[in-house]
Amino acid sequence: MLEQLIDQSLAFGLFWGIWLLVPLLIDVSTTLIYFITFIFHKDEQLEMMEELPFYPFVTLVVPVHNSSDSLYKCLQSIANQVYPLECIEVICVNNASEDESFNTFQKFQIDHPDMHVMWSSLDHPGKSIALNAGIYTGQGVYMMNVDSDVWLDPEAVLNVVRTFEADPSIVAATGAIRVDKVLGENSNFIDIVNYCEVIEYLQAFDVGRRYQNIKNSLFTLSGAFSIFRRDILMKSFLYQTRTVSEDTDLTFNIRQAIAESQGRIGFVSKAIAYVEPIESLSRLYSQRVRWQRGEVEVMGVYFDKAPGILDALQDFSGRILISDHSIAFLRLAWTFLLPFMYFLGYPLPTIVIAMLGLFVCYLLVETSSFAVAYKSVAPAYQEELRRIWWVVLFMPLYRYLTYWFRLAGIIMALTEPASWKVENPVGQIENALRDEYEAFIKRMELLRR
Amino acid sequence: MKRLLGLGLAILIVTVIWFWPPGTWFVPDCQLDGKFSDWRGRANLADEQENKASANDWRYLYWTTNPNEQNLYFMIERFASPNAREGMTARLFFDINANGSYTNKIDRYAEISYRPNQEHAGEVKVELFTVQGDLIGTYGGSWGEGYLDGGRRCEFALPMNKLQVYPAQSIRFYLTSIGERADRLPDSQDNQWSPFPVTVKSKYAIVIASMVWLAVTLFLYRHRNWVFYYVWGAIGLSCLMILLFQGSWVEYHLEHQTSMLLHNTLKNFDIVTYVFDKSPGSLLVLIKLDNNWTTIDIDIENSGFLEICIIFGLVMFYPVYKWSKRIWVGLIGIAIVYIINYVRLLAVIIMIHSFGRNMSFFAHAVIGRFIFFVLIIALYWQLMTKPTLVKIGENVKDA
Repeated sequence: MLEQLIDQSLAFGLFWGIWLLVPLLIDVSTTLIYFITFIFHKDEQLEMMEELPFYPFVTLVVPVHNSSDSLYKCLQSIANQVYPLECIEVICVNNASEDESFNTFQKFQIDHPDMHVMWSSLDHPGKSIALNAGIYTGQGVYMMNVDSDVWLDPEAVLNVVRTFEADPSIVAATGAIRVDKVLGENSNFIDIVNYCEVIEYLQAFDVGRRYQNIKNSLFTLSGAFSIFRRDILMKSFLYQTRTVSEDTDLTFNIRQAIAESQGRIGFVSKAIAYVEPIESLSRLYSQRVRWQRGEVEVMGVYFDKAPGILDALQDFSGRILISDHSIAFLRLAWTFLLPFMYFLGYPLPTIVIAMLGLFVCYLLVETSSFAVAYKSVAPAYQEELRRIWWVVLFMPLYRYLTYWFRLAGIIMALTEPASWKVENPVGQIENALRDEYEAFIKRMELLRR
Repeated sequence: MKRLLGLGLAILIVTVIWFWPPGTWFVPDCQLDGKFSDWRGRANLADEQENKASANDWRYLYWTTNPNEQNLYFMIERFASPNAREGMTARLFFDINANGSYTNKIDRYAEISYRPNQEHAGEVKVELFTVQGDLIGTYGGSWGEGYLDGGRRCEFALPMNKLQVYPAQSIRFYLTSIGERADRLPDSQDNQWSPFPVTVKSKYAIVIASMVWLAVTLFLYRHRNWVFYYVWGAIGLSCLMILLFQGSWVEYHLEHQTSMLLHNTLKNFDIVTYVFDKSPGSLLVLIKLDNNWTTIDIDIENSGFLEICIIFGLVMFYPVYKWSKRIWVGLIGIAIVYIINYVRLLAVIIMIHSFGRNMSFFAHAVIGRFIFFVLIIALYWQLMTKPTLVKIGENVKDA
């Protein structure tokens, strides 16, 4: 009987679950491709110069918008760089901050009189414009963008310069972004979300970007920490405000600018920047909506003519869109249709077992992906990661959650004007119900009168 | 004005659901009543006359399911024997796990005794056994033809749970008589079938579900909660379409036309198939290799019916098109899913026909699914992603 139930669930899971399994198969094949690529590219890391014959001048642009809480820590991490400080220029571009950011900057300046730090101010908020202003002002051979809520590893700037000096073909690169969270200390809901975020970033950068680096198919130069050769950057349109994803927009812009040359866009895994973990689900929602919206907006602008499916398959960005957009609709439909099959005559145990089976499949993929990422980081960090190994069990749920957030981004890109912060739809429903209730009470009072 | 529009929409939906013709309008349910007109046009296998003196010389074996019933219905017809009052005993063997062996622990057989002992009725007794001979169920009634009517036909039903058959599971069966010179139907091998009784929901349930759906959809629209509006609206519409169309003339026509189209196409490949008026979607395929039969049921798993409802729902609420265009794009989506499904079925049948029906699970659940999936992704790109890129590209450039 049990054997038959398992057979039955397997048949059901294979037949109908395919709609949910295929995104998984894409993940599996991607992990496999990464794994095989890493085996055959043992030296996939960009070449680095052991000793620099001289230290080129570098500019770090820090856009500031109400960043008084994090700005000092960010600037202090620059001050802690092993790269000679006299070869570093820091430009903080304030864009309409209304908090104590300037005072924080002043305090840092007083504490570090030996550093080249500048403050420039714009009347209007806007990260892109602030970055561009900083880029125009900067004199460095290398331009680095650092978000004001990011802090750098002490060797980040040195490793970037060693990489760029060793490989003239590299025109721009992204650093490795990690989530700065003490691992394993707490296990509240938001801590688990943060641990998932840690693993997600690790997989995205130490696995995904490493692969994209090998294939020269980097999709986004992270806005948190990216590096450019100044001459190449000045040939591009710089950061543009037309999409919500100015970093992806610039990445594509540079890719177009270097299409004729042998230049490439890379990833420097030893240039590590740390970001704050997300504070709440609402913030996570807002962030993922922006990312997905940005992806579709940038693709919409960069394809001169929207490609057919065959052309899309031949282009790495087309393949990403198939996975993130076309297949997202199938996942949406079958998430609900699979349980709905009970009403169409399939036995409930079959459906439940099949869905559990799907979860186990996702778990296996997450585990293998985690293992590849784990292998690629330093032993000290591996030890920290071991403390949260159990979070892998939550990763399929976390991925699923972020899938829904990204789906919201697809819909909002078509229905709502662009905005940095997005109200989450649950909050919207609460407000709507409150409005309806208040209107109802008013109507009742009017009737009573 | 908007409230009036919502009310009008509600009345329209209730009216459509309420006056929607039931599935029995196209295919009446099969009744165990000793009357056999309800079997006309259903899936069957025929056998040649072999022994005019025998009371157990099979002519036809019919099979079917009824909506909302987890039973397998059968009808046996024998050639007229010299004595119409003479009884018959038959055994219907089931290969429940469809592996070609009828002696696995899970396999079953039914022993059917039919006595046309009354003028217009005959007694039928059916005993269901495990392959080891343990009795697991006895069923009976006046389910046979009387001797004045010819005493040739009897009908019966077996519960799927006693057979341990779940919806869409492939089983195989053949009919035989007992004793020397026993007749067999089919003469060699057997027939493979994947029964899936249609589940039809009551109109009350569908009306209530659609009113809840409409109210929530309008609420979300009014409050411009576009994310939930899309998810609720699109998926809800797909589910309501499925509930309304399942087991109705729409699904039956879809399945029947698909089987007719396949039947006519397969002629060109020299693949012998049969179709039946009152078993919509049942396509009996003769397997070339070992001369046995497979019933390809163009049912919920094969008809593309669910996928058709889904693409329509997803397109109708997707904000990339204007409302008037959504209907056209939705209809084009339906047509293309139908064609994709036709290509998938053609590939599956050709595979089963060429490599034997042991390939049926692989062909159906893996290869057929793969073909279907790849083409559906291409369709979703063309109908959803590509226009999104165009529209968002224009929006960004115009901003």
